[in-house]
Amino acid sequence: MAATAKNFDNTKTIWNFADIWVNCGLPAVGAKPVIASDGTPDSATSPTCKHVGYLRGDTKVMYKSTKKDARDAQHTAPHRSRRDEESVRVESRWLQVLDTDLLDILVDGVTVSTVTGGKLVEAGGKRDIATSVVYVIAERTDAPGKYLCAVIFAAIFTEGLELTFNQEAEMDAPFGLDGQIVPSRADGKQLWSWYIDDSA
Amino acid sequence: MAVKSPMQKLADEGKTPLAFQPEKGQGSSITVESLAERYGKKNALEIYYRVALAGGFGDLRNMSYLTLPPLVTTGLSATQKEAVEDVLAAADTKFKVAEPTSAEE
Repeated sequence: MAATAKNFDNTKTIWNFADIWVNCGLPAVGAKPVIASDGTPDSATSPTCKHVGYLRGDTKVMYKSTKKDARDAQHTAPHRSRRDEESVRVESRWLQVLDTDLLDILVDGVTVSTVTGGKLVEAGGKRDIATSVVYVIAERTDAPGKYLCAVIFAAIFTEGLELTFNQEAEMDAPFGLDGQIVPSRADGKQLWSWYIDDSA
Repeated sequence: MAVKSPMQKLADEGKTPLAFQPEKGQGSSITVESLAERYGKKNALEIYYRVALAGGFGDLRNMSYLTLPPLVTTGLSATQKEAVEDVLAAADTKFKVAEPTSAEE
């Protein structure tokens, strides 16, 4: 009997932080996001994108898939399973809470306006929720200059604003971006994508 | 003097439509704003949705108008690219292109 090679490969692991970009360009089905050589979204394909800036702690991209089982009286395990629900969510904590452009984008429900001497953030009574194409970009640990990019096709900003004033540490605020489906894209490609730069 | 459409001008110069020209960065995209510049605000939204459907971006009509994303045309398949070109060519034929020349002269 011949042995089978084990699959240990440290070029297939990730150990790095990520940057989050909102209001990016939407790739078509089967197309990758366009990333510049410094790991930022390409300015021509994402002309209106905005960097979320400093993040603290984990940056999570969470894709969840749940199934429903059909069971019967005669057996102990399901005889059929089907996917029931899927979700994708990006979450982290952001530090630049005084950036009113970011407040406008990340904190859905607020309206930011310019007033004499500063900016005014008002909230309450807005029902529409805006969507945005979100890129989460991290540099590959094994290959500097190559990047991983998660793309949420239609993310909605569902978090409120939690401002914690504290003498001990700089303020950060949690935020989350939940993916909505774009149903007319091909099945299996409607919610999000993950591009891994593996170019030679 | 007859006003030429941007598409005709590009064709005369032997260039491809604007949407597929790599510009400052590595790629190219179509935005509602760029369509509004060429076809007028009134027509831009309809053309945008048609491009989105033809190019394989999906039906984006349920998205908030204010946050309609740029459609990345870099990396489209040949079929998708052709479909988008068809929509833009049809738009040039159907809509009188909003050119500053007629309004400002």
